[in-house]
Amino acid sequence: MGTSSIVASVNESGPSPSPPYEHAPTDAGERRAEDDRLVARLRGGDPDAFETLYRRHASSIFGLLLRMLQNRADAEDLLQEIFLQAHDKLPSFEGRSAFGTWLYRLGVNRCLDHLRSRSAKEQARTDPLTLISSSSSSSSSSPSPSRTAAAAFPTTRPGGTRSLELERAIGELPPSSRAAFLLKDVEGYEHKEISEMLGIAVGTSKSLVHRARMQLRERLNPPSARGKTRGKR
Amino acid sequence: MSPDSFADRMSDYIDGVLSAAEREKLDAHLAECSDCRALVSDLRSVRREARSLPPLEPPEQVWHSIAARIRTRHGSAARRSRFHTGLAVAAALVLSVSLWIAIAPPEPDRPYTEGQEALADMVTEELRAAEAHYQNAITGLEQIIAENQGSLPSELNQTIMESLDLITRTIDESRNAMATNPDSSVAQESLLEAFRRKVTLLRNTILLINEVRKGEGENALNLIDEIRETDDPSNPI
Repeated sequence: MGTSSIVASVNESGPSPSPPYEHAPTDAGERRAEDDRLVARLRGGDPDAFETLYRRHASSIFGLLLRMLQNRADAEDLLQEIFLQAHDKLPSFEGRSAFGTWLYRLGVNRCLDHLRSRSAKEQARTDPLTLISSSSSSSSSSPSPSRTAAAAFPTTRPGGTRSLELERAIGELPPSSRAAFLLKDVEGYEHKEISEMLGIAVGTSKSLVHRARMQLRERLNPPSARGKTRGKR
Repeated sequence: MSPDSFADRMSDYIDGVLSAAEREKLDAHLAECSDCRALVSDLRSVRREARSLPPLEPPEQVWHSIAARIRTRHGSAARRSRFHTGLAVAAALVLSVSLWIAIAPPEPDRPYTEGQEALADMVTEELRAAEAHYQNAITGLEQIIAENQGSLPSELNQTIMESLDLITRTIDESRNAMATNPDSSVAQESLLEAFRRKVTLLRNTILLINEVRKGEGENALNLIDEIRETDDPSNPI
């Protein structure tokens, strides 16, 4: 994200109602009802229902995984693992929480476990995907978040380099802040839902999201650049 | 309120979750403080940019791999079904017998052996037998609870009854699904899982009644925790 985009919002005043997220729940009740119907169809023996559930949720879950892990191969592996686990656990799912929330909870916790278990190994491993994108850069065996982000995210995309810069900055957040921020600001969940998914208090969720936003602000619009960009207004 | 306190509330401010009074106070501060106005603007920008990040699509190959693994598992599951069903029946049998010995007066032998012998033939027959055994255990356990009604605080009793109703509805739904698709392994597993939950909940309720009667507060609290865990089917982990 460049400073110009930050400057562009200076004149906004007051919290405007959040517009529907492009790739997030637009009507939670309707989505939940449709998911419930699909779960019932699956329990009734219709195997196609699981593919429909996958296609309804795979993109969001994959986005969360890729942004959490900053590694495409790991995100694909974990996506597969999470949906297989969801398939296995569906008999015990009684629908007290929305299927999507249940799936996110499964995904984000699996993701945090994965990050914890790989952290030591990652330090000593060179990611081959990283080498593709930056073979001439640092010889460090531990890829930096910005290097892994360059490998993980397509460089030709809406928002171009600005959104890639944000992806990189998100990758530098501590895992718990990153998870809360992605669920709140990218996926559009409320703090209450996030607290249920992560097993934390609502206040903790608010605090994690706020810290993440502050850290992203520092990274994307450092104090040295603020005077200059605001001076151009 | 210090400037830092204001800064800490800025995310709540832009998310629109502050009370009218808090919001008014922050508005007044923002009218005077250019640093905080800049902070609000930057935080809004971060949120907006995050919101507009493009969706990330997984490659189609991921679904193909998932579908292939589910198909493979179903093949194996069908072969294992007979063994697992027998195991479930045996577990229910042990559970119900041990509880009857501990709490209820002895009764004449029940026809478990006939049911177990029937397991050797077909999966549908096995399921029918398993269901009958679970149902026997459930009937016995429910009878014990009915005879001890009033032993638990009414609020806890109400929660337990609601959970039992929910599980019973799941059992009914799974039975309906089985009637439509008798070969569905998911429906079979759902039915057995619901029976298992019901037996566990009933068993813990009886143990809880005993602990309350004995005045064993700590044991009772542990059992309440167990009941809550049984009562939390949305916990996938």
